[in-house]
Amino acid sequence: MRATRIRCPHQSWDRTAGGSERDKGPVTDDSYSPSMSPARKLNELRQDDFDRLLAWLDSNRERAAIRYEQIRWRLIAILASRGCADAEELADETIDRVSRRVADIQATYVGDPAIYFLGVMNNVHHEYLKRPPLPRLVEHREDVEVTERLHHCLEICLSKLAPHAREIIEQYYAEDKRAKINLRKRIAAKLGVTNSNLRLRALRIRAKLQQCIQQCVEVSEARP
Amino acid sequence: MIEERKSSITFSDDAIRRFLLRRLAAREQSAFEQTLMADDDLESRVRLAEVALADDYARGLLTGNEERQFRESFLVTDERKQMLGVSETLNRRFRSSVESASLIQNVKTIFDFRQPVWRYAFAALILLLVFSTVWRKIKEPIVVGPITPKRVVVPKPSATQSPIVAHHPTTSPIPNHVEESTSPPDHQIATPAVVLDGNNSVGNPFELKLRDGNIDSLRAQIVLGENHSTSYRVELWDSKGESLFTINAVAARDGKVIFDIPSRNLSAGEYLIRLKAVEGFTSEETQSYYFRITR
Repeated sequence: MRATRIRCPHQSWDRTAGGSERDKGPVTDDSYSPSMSPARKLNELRQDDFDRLLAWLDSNRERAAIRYEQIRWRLIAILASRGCADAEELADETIDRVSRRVADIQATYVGDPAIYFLGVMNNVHHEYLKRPPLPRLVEHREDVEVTERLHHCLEICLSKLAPHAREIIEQYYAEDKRAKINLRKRIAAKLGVTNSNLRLRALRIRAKLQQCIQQCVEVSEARP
Repeated sequence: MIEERKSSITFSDDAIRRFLLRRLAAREQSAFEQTLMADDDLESRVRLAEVALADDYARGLLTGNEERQFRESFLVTDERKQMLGVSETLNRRFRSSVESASLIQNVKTIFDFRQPVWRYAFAALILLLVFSTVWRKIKEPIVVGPITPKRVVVPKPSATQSPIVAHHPTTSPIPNHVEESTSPPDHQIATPAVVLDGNNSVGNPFELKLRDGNIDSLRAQIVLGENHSTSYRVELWDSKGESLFTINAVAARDGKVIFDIPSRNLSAGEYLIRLKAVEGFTSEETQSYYFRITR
């Protein structure tokens, strides 16, 4: 797992961590300096802050890593649903702030750490809303190499599916209504499940396919 | 719809889809966020709903309004964009394979000779052949004459003088065509320019297309509104939030501010110019102008 890099395009802050806190909802940044600097500054999450954060989430490092990814994913989903175009960056900013506070709160904090993240995220979001809108990035067309990589990984991941899983995915994407109905009846009868359960299974297989493809693409991008 | 069950709050699939498309009411949104941060089951359902939504978009199953919300509100992370790419690829791949499989299946079904209808068809065919043979034997055909009439050969006319020679005398000289050559006009290399005013907001940037090649600078001309200041501080920002270029004071003349931007600061992308009116020693009244460069 990598440590997150934080970008603060319009703001710089230099504050000391506050005192101990309880699970009371949104957290106020009383020591935050409101002065704005036009230059962009980078803050990197230090390794000891990151380790302390993981330890706070769970004593077992592997479980803590899973928890970290869960919380990050949830923050991104919430920020995206609030209309933030920079949901990933704001989520990383939230994690960065929490990690710098963990040293002061971990002894006294009571409750689910995820709720604390939500409180800090609300502050980050409020600050984001105050920034002037930046021009949206020009959307780049998907290049041929990326598409080819995706196709290649798709074939690899499809070949790893069990035959019945492959059949379920086929019926899920069948365009022709008659073909879809025929396939679905056959598969449902074979597996002994209802149609609605079949759709749920198809979605789960599809989600696993997505994970497999993501990992495959990352590995192929990392190769020279 | 939100239902209360025991001590936990559960959300319907429709509520999850509305969450992903930014259509939840404020009260619902707050409750959903609180639950999502703490509930693993809701997270799993939201992940599945993301995949289902991407698939529905790829298959054209969303309404016009939902499609717009999908593009604006859902496709904001790299992971979701990749998810859509996979959905579109899967859709193309399996749609064609299922269609061809379906076609083969249909043809096989039609030409399944074990079905009774084929036995009746063969029987009818045999009976037809028998009857037609009998009919032909009973009614003898009448011999008819040759079908094609005799060909009448018309004598070929004798060769005469070539029509070209007859109608075009060869004694006159070929006329000379005189062409006046003209030299191509000189092309002036003009400095490219962006002309901005209060209408060039983030949703309506000024578009400038540059040809490939080196340019020294770009001229920016900003048309000011009424009651404008006499002097402005100019800042140029790129879409990543980096400050590229600053002029501390530019005088306004005839309701315009004009200045040149060095080309080293420019590549294809979107840019923001901020003007701050300089009154005395403090900068006030910030105005923003957006433009886009394409190549």
